[in-house]
Amino acid sequence: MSEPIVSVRNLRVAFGRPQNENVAVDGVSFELAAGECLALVGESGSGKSVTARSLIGLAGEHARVTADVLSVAGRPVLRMPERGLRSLRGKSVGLVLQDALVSLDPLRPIGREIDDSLRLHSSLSAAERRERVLELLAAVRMPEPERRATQRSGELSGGLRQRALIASAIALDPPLLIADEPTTALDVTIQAQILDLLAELRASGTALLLISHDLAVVRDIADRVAVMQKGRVVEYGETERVLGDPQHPYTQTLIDAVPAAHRRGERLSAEPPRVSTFERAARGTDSPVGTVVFEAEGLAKQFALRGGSPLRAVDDVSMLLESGRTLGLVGESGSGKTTVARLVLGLERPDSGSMTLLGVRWDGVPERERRGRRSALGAIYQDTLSSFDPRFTVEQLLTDAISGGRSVRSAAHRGRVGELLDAVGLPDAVRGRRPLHLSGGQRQRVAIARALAPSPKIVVCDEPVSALDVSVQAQVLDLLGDLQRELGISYLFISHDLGVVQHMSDTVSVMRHGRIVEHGDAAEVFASPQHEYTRQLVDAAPRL
Amino acid sequence: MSLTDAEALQAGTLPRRHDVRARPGARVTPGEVVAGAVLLFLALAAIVPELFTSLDPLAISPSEAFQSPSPSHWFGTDESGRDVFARTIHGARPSLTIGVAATAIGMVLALILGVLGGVGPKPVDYTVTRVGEVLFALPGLLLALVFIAIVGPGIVTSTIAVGISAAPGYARIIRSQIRAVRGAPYVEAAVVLGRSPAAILGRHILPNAVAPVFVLATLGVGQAIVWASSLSYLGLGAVPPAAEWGAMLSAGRSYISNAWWLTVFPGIFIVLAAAAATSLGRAMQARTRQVGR
Repeated sequence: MSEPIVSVRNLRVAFGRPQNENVAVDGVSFELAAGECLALVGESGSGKSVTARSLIGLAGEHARVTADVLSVAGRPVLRMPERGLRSLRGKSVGLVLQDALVSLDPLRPIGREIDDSLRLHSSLSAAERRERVLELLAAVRMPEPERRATQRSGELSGGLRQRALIASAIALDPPLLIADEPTTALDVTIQAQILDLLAELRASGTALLLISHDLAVVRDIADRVAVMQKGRVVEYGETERVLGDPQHPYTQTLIDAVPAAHRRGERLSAEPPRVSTFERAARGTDSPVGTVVFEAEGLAKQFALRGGSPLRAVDDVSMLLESGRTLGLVGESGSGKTTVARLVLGLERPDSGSMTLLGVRWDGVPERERRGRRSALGAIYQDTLSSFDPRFTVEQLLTDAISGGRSVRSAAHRGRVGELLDAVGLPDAVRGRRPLHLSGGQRQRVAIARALAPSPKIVVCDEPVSALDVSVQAQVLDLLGDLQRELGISYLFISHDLGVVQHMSDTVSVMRHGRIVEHGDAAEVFASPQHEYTRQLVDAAPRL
Repeated sequence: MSLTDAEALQAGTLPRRHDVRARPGARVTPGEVVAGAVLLFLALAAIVPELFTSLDPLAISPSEAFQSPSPSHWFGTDESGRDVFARTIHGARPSLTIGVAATAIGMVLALILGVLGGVGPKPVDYTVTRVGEVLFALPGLLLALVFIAIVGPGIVTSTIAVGISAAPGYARIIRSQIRAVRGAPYVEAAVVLGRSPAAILGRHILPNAVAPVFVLATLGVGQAIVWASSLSYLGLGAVPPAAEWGAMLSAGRSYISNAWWLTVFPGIFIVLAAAAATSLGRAMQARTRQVGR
């Protein structure tokens, strides 16, 4: 092995006052050579981003960084003056962040953004720089580089923005590229392309430090993996070894939490299945598994676009929801999944088609009449925090849902609030808290409790776990599964994540451009996809 | 209430409940303590003026006219020998009452207009917005003068006048707040739970839209005190010999070259009241922004 590009020994980063400090990274050591890829894996707050940022002196204004060795491209980073750090960032290290939309200046064409680092750190003439920008855009396989260079980041799709960002990161051919969750915001097919691009860069000799919470992404590309938990590296080794034969229980937990690796009904988290007395009385009257509770036939919805042709958001979509079963709806962003959810929930009216809820017509009915029947339909949203009235505590939110909106402070419902909290595995102590002060997983549990409060027959889950860490995601998915078995609820489960949908669904519909291109038994569809697009999706999804 | 507050709101600098840059336990600054103490003192003076002075603010004593400030008359005496300190202290009641009452009137009017515009059908919103814009085009004090010209002067009319001239600003803010909250995901969540429009308006939209405006109203009180005093000064509000700061200024104006204390002390109190109310309002504004949701 040649001289390592990155050398870190006993890195420690702390925030806050010395007597009451918060240690974000503690005793982390690793080396990274040219053409190698090291992945830092862990959940949010595990210290992986802070570790990577310490390499380029961006750990934060109030961070205290100490290490026995901390060098990048042969230069010690600790105590390096700001000037030196700037040139290090430009020439030796490229940084690619998760959200390219905020990393690129919205008011400047991407060509100029990429040109920036060339202008600041190289002696090329304007014409040479222009040539180089187009080369770079071609290198990241940006279609029509000439035209794209003149566009602003807002005019590009997520995948193209990420390419532009990578182009600007590699503009000076840095020996080290740090990619912090580079594909988290992207659709699977785009993710696969970006990962290919990163792998290509690595093959051409760039050292790659990849930060991800997604073990499947890491497996494809990393040579070695460092699993981080609470600021420490708990396991470190060759990717195959760490993922194939994990030695640390935390690594095992992370691997177990990946939904695609498990059949439907298998548990993802270490939590024991819930055995609760929740609504035991109601269960007797519940319809048996497999009764049709909702039917949609030929739904269509158009939206008028500003100064253009109408957008067919949903086109001839039919579906059948059965009690105790889950219909998965999968597709990439913009495929019309959320519009379908809004049609089912009666938040939009379809242009054509019909819907039946519990055997009674659901579309084309006056809202006044529909209102009373809405309790049969619950909803869980991706951004739960904004779906809660900010003034209310958990108890008030649930009391409002239980009482049908008649009260938010009724002592009569205290018992029922307790039952709901217990059913979703939340401690009674969260009653008085506001959702803002809860963790993402706890918020999602509150959202589930609220959806269950009116005893719905159907719950529409729109990307319910997309914002959560894998292990928390595993717990929430397990909870949804337990509740379905217990209460016989029917789920319409919407996600862009094939693994999650595969794990949760009995039947699955694949959506593209507002149409359902394939429908069938979930296991079959994913094992032997018939439609070309489904095949693409399945192929693009990274596997463990 | 001025145009700049409405603009500040649109620029997003007014308290918005979704701002979550929480700075918990923000310290109380010395300035806030002083402002609070001043307001407390003025409030006490308004409620029990006898606490600070035993003299009758209306009792004349011609032999003691035009005495300069001295240990027996801290703020001196006026042209009829009345004690200026006693009059200034007693003046707190009408001045503060007018300030608070005018702001309250403005808020009630604004609520009605704002809600009509915020949730009403398009033609209603259109009408309310256009009328508001016309009122905006006139300076607030001019609006108040027009009202008084029609109805006639007096302490009650001047209070109403100040309230009316403050209303368009609040109304505009309430309307835009309601519009913003109407589109919030939690309102949609309430629709999914089967809530009626009236219930959603009462439980979710109004409290979330209007709460920040109440903070703004604290700022408005200071302004209203100044306006009410201005009207009294012009002889359109409280009328001498009533102990009201604006009226006292007006009466003392004729003697300003040889009896400065007649105008300076009530003037200082107007400034103190307005400044204290404003800085406390600003502090509250900053707090609610930090606490967020």
